[in-house]
Amino acid sequence: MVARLFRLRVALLGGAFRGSAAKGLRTGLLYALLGAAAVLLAVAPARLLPSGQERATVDTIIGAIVLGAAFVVPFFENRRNLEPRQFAQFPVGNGAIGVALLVTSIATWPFLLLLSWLTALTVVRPEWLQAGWIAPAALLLAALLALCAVRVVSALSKLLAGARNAGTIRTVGVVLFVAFLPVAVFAAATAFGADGTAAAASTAAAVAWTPFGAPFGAMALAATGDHSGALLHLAVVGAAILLLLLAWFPLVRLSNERIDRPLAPDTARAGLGWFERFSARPAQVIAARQLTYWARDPRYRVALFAIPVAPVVMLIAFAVAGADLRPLALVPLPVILFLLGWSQHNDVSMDSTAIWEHVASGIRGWADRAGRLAPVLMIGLPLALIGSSITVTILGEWRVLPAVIGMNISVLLVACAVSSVFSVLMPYPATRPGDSPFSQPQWSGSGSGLAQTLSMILALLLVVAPVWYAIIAIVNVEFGSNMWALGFGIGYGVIVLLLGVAIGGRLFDRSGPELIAVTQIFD
Amino acid sequence: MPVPSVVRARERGRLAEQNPIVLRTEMLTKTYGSLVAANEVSIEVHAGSFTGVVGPNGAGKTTTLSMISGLLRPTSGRVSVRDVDVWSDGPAAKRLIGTLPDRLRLFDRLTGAQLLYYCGVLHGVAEGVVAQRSAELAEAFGLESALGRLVSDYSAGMQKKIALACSMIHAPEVLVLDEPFEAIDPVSASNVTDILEKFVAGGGSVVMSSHSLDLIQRVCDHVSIIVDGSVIAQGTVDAVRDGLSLEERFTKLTGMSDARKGLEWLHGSSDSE
Repeated sequence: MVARLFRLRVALLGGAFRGSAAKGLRTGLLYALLGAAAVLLAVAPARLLPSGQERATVDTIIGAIVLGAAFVVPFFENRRNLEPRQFAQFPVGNGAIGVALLVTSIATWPFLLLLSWLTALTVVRPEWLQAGWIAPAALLLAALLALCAVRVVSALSKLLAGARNAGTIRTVGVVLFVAFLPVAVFAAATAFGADGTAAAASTAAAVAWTPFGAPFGAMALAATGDHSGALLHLAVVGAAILLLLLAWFPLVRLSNERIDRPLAPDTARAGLGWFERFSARPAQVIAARQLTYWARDPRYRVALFAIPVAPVVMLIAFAVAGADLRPLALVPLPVILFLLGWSQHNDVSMDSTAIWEHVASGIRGWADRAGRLAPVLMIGLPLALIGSSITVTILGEWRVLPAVIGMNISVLLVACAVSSVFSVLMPYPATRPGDSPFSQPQWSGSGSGLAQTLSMILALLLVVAPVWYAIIAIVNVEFGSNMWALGFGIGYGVIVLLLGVAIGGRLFDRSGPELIAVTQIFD
Repeated sequence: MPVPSVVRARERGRLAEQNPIVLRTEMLTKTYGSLVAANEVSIEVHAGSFTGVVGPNGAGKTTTLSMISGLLRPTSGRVSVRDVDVWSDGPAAKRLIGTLPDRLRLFDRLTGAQLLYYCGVLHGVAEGVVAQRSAELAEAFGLESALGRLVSDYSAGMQKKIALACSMIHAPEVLVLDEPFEAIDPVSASNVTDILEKFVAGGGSVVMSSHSLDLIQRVCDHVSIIVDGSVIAQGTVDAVRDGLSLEERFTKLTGMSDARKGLEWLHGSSDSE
């Protein structure tokens, strides 16, 4: 099996160049560039920094990033990876397939690139080789770790997400990448700055204890003569590889013995726009319809354009008052996210056209509530992540990123939760679907002011706790308090959101007919 | 020579009376303050019957049908479909009911195909089944070419037809239709009648309201006459009309002929004389 698969892999290596001459040239150029980049990654620190502690720090961090990427990236992007299932039909045991896939992964372009990086490292770091067998062992373990990580994680991703959600997962990956790029660049910039060395050294020391940084930590320690410390680091890598191997074989068996639901029923929603991307369950189709409406209805777009105005006005007011603008960088994003979530507090009447269909079909209230939050969350969550990363960059303190993310996500989720209760509790007239977004509703009566005020106050009260912890962590920059602010913010937000959806759903179940009656008056 | 629908309806009336009751309202009442919109309405609908609900404008037809389909909470009384109470076990009962309300809008910013899919999934129909049923319903109602367009761009009659299709996609046992033939052209109307008759022949039941007594007499086998919120006559069409035409009988029951006085000033004479 290994020999056959190896031939396939080699053919695939060459396959990248097949097609037209132009394509072959393009691919060749791409891999040449990537190879050069890999070598440069090893050579540059040696040229720029003197041998010793500083270079070891940089090497550990770079190594950890590369191996970490080998662990994370395949989860989001694994289109070209061979998977165990492709060989399930052949008369070979699962164990043989597992071994063969793992071993032959060495004949892939990414691994060859990794290999060129590792080889370049051995060449330009003579100090490592002086310490005896530790360095070759560490580099070998690093390669093995990357190999196992790619296989296990991409198999896991395919098993969890399946072919259907591959696109979604890729999109999530891109959003996360875009979100953390500014912070990464900023963090790198500070690390190379005047007083960044100490921070970088402490980061490297921490990273060296993760499996991704451990091989490089081991080599650095060995170079200084600390063999027992180096062995400990190697043990960390070895344990990680063992764990991945232990996961790999059950994963192979699982993916070869489980059958996905066939893709054929997809034809029902083929060509139905957003409906295609959501499964056929009430909450999901409501989400899909909601997204379709957001795309087709100008009222929502106007609201979206109006929301960023509020924080801008606030900032101008602060600036006029002469406040220090740097900490104010924290303000706009939570305000935008709060308003974005809160803007849904009258959604039932904004979207009143056919709420009777929801009542007449007897769906559960929570499905209606949860489905309606889809557009806001789909805009809000990426915005919270990307925005938080930009916020800390402007703020000039990347270590508070966890607290800022925690705060922003909790604000968004809490505002959504309050909206999902209030839109069934106190609907008030809104511009009718299809009307101009600037026209006034035809029906006047009490309620609009009260509902707006109450929902706003309740949402503000509910966000106090997570914002408080975030502010503590931002003022006193500590790792522990930052992680707590992140964990508390997300956990609290999720719990409040679930409660909001449950309470709103319960209200919907009980007062569906009354909602129809109320929204009919507005029509 | 094909049997006209009126003959089929008479025959069906006799047969359906033997069938078990699928839909039953007991003393259904709806009051708005001092206004009584529906007063102790008790209707029984047999399996495989086509029941018409008629009455003058504002008599409480829509109120009654909305209470049956779970869209309007009754002040008192019960509605049950196959012994499932609509107002205490809504989700279970609503699987058995298909609804076409009058005057309420559809999700008209979806295309026809999206709307059918949406309704099907909301009613808990499996995805593959939705695909097949959407295609067949679109063909039956002659909407195939319009499925890709937004429902808001449909004509009134086409909107009525897509709404009807939506009310049927989960294969309900009882169809509650409020003015299903309003705004539908005569050719489509006979097409819709055919579809409904097939549904009834297969054991389903239809409750529909209409202003058109002629239509009710032609296609329905049972009829309930509602005036001022109360049922004043019900039973098979033959029993209710009692030898007269349904229209004559209706006029007699409601005493509408007495209301012809007044308006003399409108009749030909000119004020300028």
